[in-house]
Amino acid sequence: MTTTSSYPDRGSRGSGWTAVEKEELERAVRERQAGFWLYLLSDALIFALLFATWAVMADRIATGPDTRSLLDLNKAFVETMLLLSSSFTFGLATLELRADRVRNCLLWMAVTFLLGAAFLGFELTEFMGLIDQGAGPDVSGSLSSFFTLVGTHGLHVTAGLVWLAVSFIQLLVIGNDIQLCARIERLGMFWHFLDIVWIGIFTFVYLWGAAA
Amino acid sequence: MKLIIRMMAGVSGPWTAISARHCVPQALSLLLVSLMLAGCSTSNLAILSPASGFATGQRDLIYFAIGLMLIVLIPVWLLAFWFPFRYREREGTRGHHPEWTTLPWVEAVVWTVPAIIVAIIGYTVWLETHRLDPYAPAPSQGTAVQIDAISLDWKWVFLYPDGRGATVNELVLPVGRPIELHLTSDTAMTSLFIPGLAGQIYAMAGMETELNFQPERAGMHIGRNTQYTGGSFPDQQFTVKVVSPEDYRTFLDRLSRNGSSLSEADYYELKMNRHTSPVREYSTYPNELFQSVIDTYCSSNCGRRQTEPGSHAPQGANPEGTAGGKA
Amino acid sequence: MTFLGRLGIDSLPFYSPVAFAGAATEVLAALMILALVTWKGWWKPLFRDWIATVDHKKIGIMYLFLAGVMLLRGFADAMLMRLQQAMALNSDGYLPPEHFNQIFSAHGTIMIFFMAMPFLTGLINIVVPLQIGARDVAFPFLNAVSFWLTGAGAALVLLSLVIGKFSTAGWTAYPPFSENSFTPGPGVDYWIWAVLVAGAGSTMTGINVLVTILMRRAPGMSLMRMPLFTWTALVTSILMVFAFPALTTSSAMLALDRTLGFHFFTNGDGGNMMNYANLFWIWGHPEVYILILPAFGIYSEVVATFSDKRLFGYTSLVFATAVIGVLSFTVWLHHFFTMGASANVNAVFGIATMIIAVPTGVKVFDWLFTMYRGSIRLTTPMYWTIGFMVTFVIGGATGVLLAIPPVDFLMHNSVFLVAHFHNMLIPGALFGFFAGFSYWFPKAFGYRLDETWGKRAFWAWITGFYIAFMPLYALGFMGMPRRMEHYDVAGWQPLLITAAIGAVFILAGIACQIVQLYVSWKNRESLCDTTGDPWDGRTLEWMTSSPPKPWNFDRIPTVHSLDEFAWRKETAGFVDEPGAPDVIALPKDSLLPMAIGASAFIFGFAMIWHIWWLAIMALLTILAMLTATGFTRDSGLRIIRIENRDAARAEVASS
Repeated sequence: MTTTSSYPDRGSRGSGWTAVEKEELERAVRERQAGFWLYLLSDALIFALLFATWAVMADRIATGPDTRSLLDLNKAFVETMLLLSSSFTFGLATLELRADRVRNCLLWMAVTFLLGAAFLGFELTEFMGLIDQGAGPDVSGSLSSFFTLVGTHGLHVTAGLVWLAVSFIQLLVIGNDIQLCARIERLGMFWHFLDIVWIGIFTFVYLWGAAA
Repeated sequence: MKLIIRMMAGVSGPWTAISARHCVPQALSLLLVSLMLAGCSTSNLAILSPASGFATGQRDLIYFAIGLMLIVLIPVWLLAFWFPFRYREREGTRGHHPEWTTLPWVEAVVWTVPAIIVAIIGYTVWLETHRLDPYAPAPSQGTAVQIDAISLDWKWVFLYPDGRGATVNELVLPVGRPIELHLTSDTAMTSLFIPGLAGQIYAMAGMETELNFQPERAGMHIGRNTQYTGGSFPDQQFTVKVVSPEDYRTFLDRLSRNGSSLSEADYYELKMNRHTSPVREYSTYPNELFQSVIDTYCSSNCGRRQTEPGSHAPQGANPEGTAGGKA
Repeated sequence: MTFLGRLGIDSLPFYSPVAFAGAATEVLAALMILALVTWKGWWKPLFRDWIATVDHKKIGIMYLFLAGVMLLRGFADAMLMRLQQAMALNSDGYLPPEHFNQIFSAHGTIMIFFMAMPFLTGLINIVVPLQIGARDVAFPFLNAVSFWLTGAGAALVLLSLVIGKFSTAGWTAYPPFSENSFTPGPGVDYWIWAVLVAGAGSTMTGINVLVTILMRRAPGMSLMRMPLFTWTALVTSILMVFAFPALTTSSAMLALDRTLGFHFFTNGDGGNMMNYANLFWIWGHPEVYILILPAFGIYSEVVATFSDKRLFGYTSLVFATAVIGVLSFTVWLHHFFTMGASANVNAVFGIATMIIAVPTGVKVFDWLFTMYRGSIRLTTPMYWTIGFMVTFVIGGATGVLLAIPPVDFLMHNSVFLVAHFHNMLIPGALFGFFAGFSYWFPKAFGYRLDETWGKRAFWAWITGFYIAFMPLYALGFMGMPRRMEHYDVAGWQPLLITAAIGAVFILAGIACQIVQLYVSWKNRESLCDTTGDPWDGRTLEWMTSSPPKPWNFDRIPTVHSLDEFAWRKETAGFVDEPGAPDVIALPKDSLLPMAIGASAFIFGFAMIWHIWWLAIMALLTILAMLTATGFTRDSGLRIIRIENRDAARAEVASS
């Protein structure tokens, strides 16, 4: 199987690799891309079920406060803007990497990281605020499903940030090569996927809450 | 070396021939199957000797479906023994046609016959599921006897209409009147089942479910919880006495003259005493006991009980997992 | 919380003599194995050849080993239950309820997650890459991680016998009974974390097999030239990828309820146990087909090979498989018709369930017509296959009965249901795995299994199956619920004694299988498969040596036809792939997957016992290991150049 690589290969590793190894690695990159899509589909189902659970549970407030009236739409809007712009900056990072401008890529990755971290900070303060008001996840089924849906997304963002930090260091240490470039592209898929999920959360949790 | 022996395919299965080299297990199995048959005449098979219209309908469906499915099963059994015997490897290649790998009409038959059978059963399922819906009132002129049942660890409390007494682990029903059993649970999820009289339905905390049926014959039955709930789950059973309308009235009178009444404290003690219980009878029970048990767990939209006839909206979310109740 | 969470000296099994004996047996067996390995000096080869391997064939063999061990444990549980129910008329039998309830919970959990799943995953691992002419699966490293995660889950279940107790909430762990208020203690947590860890492994296996089949097929192998086992593996892995998230979600929610006081499924406080039933069975029903479809694939391969004919209605079989895969997601509500859904909903799900009987029926007839005009060799795999067809249709018929909602109101929660799903999973899935085991054993190990003992095992199993489960159908009609620790209906006891005798026959079947393995190993010289094609096989896996070289094929074959190998033998007149051997790149072995599995095991253990610091450490260890792999500078590949094929064989022998 012969294919020409669409990836730059100027990293410090791989200089001694044989043609067979390179061909094999390019195949591995294609397969990992496909595998990662499947993983995202599988993960999307987890979120779908969490959304369904929220739909079932949102009204089950028992003796607790009405979850939807507690939600702060303004804060959620800021969070949305932060996450959406982080997706944009990550897109820029990927383009720079493809063009083999490693320094620019590192810069955009750092910006993405900061935006993502700010999003997470907002989310954590929101959670803390709710818990302080006596509206923690152990109060009612409604709050349990709210915290789980939004928190699972937050956990994914955290994992994305860790991955982003590791990739940043790898890019510094190893330089741009097929494997790393493809891995950062997969991280990009993950990051954009979290954006889509967040739009769902913003719509079905926060906007619906504001409408109620 | 090969000898033909017979093997029985189950209690109601047909006799089929099978070639075997080890006949000892088969002979033993024959012995055992006959032992088994001796142990189960139909009188033991509660489900096959029903005592209510509801249960009769359910049993007849079983016979109907088994009969239809035999159209597929019998050919499978015959071919599964005939083909390996007829086309077994032997001297020469008589009958071996490796090129015979598809034949459109055979494939068409193989798809359509099961499809037709499923279509017939499916159509019947649609009709019968509605006719035998446990929520549908039994088809009868008489007014329904509405009894509430509460599941506890590991016993049942039955509340008779109009506050006229309560029983524990004993259910007395009049013959020939539609019964409307309302269920809830004050513990884990349970399932009330009276084999031969009524199919089962879950009882869940904070929710109300319903079971309708009409006893046709006087007699005794055993009802139980079939949904495993740990501890003394095997003992969570009760006697069901189906009696004549006169005896039923006598029973209610006796119940209401019975001195002891079921106070809230008594109920609480019953609930917390996590054992089974002997039959107990009470002359009265707290007003709205059933509703207050539901309210203990109810989470949202817990409207008061709807009492108008023909309405049986369950409270809480419905089992399809969507928000809101079932219309 | 203390340093060791809720772990204490009272976690040891002194509450029941039977449980204590079981725990002691388990610990002794483990110690004996460790002693044996040390005494024989097997540690080094064990690590080098097995624990560190990323070779799909060796991983497959390890899966089979795991399945075998767990089959013994799960069957021991079954024997204990049958004995208890045979004895417990108006008495407590010999098992206290607490222990009996653990046993049936463990039996179901083990048989589904840690016997059937590893069995089919092992067979898929060994066979699928060979059948599609690939050198390995797409992600060999991930494959090893999946295996060790499955092993970690199994280890948690085994450990629950020694430290603490297993769940008493049944293999489905239905809330609210599985919540803290009814079942405090670590039991249900053992179930949750064993299932979560193993479920993560299964999801990854699904992704891996799917990518392998879609992207690693040999040139010329279009989808409609794939062997049927590969087709069923494809559909099964799709189901794994899309069904397991539901199990992950429901178990994780239950864990949140139990560990952090959430209210997903609790009684009151807004909990909704009906949501659990939905989520669990959205996974649970496809899971049935995850188990049974690969077995259908095996029957297809076996019946074609031993009838010396191409499969009848290959296209029908492919479509039937795909249809079953799709429909499996549309029927989950039939597991709880009795929850009070409206007649419309119940009827729709009942009819959807019955529709699955159509493609399944088509499959049975296609196998039957494959035998028609064939030249049938009645080998052990054929015995299992014919036994399956005769017995499985009974389970299918009782399944249609249960799919009729009004009938289900009578049969739900009864031993009729127990008989039904054992009728599907023993003749349906397990007989298939046994058939596949005998069929592909020579490919994996290089020698055939003894036929005499194989057939003895078959007769004992099938006889035992009928004697053990037909009485349960009858008991269902008599209104006996499942999971009864004792009972007071004298009429049930004769049938329960009969069922226990059936279990003894199955025990004899398992004994025959163990003897079969020993006898075959002893006679491995005379049973040796020198050609790589012991059965006159039809598909690519028989084209290479037995066992295959680490790279499977010297040269990746080009595929011209369905049943390529048979086509080459019968029509084309050549067998070996022409041309010079390829230069081969294979992934390097690694101990990391095992280390990840071990960390996952520690993480699960820490979560069960609330040892939070340990859980965090275990997670960080996994993270560190994964990060470290990203910094490696070599390609992770070893290159093999075959100058000529004899030299290649020499290289294998020396390595």
